[in-house]
Amino acid sequence: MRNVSTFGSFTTARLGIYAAQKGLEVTGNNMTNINTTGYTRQRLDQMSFVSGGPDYYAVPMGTKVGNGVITTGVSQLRDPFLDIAYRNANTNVGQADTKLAWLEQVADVLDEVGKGSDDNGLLYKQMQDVIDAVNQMITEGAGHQEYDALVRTAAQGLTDLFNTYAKGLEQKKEHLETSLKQDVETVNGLLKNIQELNDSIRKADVRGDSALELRDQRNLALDELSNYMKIDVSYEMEDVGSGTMVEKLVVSISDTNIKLVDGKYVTQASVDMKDNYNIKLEELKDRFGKDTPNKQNQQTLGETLQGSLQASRDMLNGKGEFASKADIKADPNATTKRGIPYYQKSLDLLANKFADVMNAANAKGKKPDGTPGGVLFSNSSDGDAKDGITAKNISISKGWSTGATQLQCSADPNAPASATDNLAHILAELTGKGHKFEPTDVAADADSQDPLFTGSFQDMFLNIQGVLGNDIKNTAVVLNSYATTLDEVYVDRDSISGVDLNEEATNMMQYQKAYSAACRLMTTLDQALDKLINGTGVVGL
Amino acid sequence: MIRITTNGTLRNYKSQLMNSTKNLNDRYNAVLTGRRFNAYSEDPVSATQAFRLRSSLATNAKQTSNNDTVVKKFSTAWDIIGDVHEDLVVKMGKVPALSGSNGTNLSVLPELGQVLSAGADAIVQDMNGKYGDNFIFGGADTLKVPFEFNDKGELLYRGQKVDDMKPTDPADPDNPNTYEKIDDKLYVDVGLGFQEGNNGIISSSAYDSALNGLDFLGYGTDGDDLPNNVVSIMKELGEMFQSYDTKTNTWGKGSAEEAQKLMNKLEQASDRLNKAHVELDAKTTFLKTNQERLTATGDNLNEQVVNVEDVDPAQAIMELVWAQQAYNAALKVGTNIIPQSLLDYMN
Repeated sequence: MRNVSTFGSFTTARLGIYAAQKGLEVTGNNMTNINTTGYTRQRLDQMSFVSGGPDYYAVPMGTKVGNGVITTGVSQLRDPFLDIAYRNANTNVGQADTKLAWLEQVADVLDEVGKGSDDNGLLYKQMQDVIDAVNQMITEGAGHQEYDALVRTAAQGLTDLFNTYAKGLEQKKEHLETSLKQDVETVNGLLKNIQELNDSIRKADVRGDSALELRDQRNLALDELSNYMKIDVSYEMEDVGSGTMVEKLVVSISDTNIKLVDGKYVTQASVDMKDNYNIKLEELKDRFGKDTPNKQNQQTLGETLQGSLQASRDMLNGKGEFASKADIKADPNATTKRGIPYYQKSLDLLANKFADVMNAANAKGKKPDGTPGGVLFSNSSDGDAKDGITAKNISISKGWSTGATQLQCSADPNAPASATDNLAHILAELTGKGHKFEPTDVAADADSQDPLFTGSFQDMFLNIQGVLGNDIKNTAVVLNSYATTLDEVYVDRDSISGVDLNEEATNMMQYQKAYSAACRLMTTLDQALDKLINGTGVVGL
Repeated sequence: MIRITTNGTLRNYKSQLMNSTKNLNDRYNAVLTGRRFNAYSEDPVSATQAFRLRSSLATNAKQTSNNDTVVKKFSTAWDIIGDVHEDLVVKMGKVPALSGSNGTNLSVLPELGQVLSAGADAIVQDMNGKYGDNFIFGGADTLKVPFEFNDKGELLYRGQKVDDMKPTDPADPDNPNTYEKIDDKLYVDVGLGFQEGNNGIISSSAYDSALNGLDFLGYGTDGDDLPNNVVSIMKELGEMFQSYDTKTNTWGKGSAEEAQKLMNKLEQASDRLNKAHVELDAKTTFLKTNQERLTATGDNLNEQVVNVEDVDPAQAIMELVWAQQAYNAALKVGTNIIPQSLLDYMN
């Protein structure tokens, strides 16, 4: 149909004003949301408007002109590939960040750099004090009770520090357990949130509403979720009846078929505190508790997880060289994952070996009646039992604290009370560098048969700190690298989806000019018609 | 073309500013604490090295103190042995013995004998001297009086008769009446390595601080059944002299020849004591040299700790100033970056 209407061009001007007005609104929306987290820049979609179709009766002289502009909608500028890249980077950052945070918590307990008087450390210095006290006893005080008491006091300080450190690590582990539970609750909250958003977006889709802000919120929730676990996000089309297809969001654990979200159906996670802190997923349900048609049974995620949740699990499970066959079966990398249990066991091993060697050294000494020297270190302060000694329970034996047992000065029962040969043996053991620290001493089911470390007691403690220090250092480097990648991907994504003030300012001027131009067109048309209506055929009147 | 957005620029800026702030903070810490690292993770190798050096330093301090204790003990022993030799063995032993044996002073022999006996008692008293709470000459037994006389006036060392004591007989090594049985050791760590072998402490790795009184005074008897021990000799000679009857000019016990033999034994015992005195001096000299070595090692260790742990102040301050410059520059850049946009130029 040809546009033959006299006032048709007014519509063109009106559409121009309307499009420019909408353009200004979109620009305003973009500019005001520049600091809104997760906001995706919007664009006004517009197209040239031509009324009618091909004209059957067209004639060569006929001129066909468009009728202006129409706005077809508002769309978002977003690149799904960059979303994937961002979420993958975010998973890596989440994992390294959580690991580093908890390693630093362990370092709060074990790292002795700059601690103690004159920066000599605490437990490390206390071991030295025990050595010094025995050394002094050899030189000046063999056979004198007060020197035995000096050694005992130094040893008491050492056992107290072992106990304190063990309790410190235990508390850190409890805190981490609480933190993991909270993280799982956060994940559940995010999944529920995504479910509700999916529901709302689905309804909007059916109504033909693009629901851009809801999609932003959903993307934000997905970004956040990717910090906790590595996810794959895909969009499928769903038939909602009458041939109407709407978009359906599916979120699954990366590299698996395990779904977290399937449109309006989501799962909920829980952590099994008694089974390797495994994350378990419930069946997929909608908001009313109904199962999805494609039923997914309960799932145990095991070691397939990545991200912050897995970092917490590794820190809670990681026994390193103390891992048993069962641990290795559950996780082939178990021997290289050193979490809080590794440091607990290492400290236990040090305390256990120390007590063991000292008790054996004292037993090598003989009392005047020929019986071996008594137990110095026990698993509790109210007894003399020397089995199952750990960093948490190591104590001065009841016998030593009451004076019934003393450091046995000589291996010869007939030697004078001031003989020092066995004290020299004790000193040699205290400083000896040949002690083998075998994981099986404190973890009977440990798979590793090789010593964790061979050296002196003090060196073993430095080894524990060294392993921790190196792990922190390496994790910090890895985190830094991941964070840089995340920053880069963020900027890349922002270069597509982010608002830029210069650009919006340009758009604002552009739409303003377009608005003015459309108004000017209307004025011009008005003037033209005025001439036609009021100024035509009036010659001679 | 890559689109650079306002927020992208700001995020980059924030990230860089954070790095700059952290760097500045680290440099501040280095200057304030004077340490190159404040956590094990900052430099695990240096931290391990530093703790080991500190442990060596503490051990060195203890070894120095041990060495000092042994030096003092040996010095006290040296003084005592000097006194015993000069004032007792020579003045109260050899001199009266010579006077009595030359035949011109026979009338005062009993008195000279009393001097000899008193000298012998005084030697025992001196040899029972203590350093601190410990008897010096008791070998490994520092808690009990080493020398005493039994009811019969025989000298005992750690409960055993000194004159009955023999060198160890290879055919009867378990005989308790042998010198080796009480020649026990008191090994002290004075920085010689202090290592244990299959048979206890390796002797070359430790210092034996035991002083056995018998090494100075002698023990056992010779082929003529005469005592080797200076106290027993003086005691016996004293008794012999005292038994001399000046009225009848007869010997109640012994004879001039026997007295002469004991005189010779006394001379030998005196020489041994003198020799042991010189040997003790040599040992003390070794310990004093060792003390100097330990002090030098301690100084060296201290220097190493400082090198490993402490920052070079000049370098630390220079780095701080540089970090401040970088931080200030970052702030300056920020004031330019943040407000600039086309909007600022619109009318």
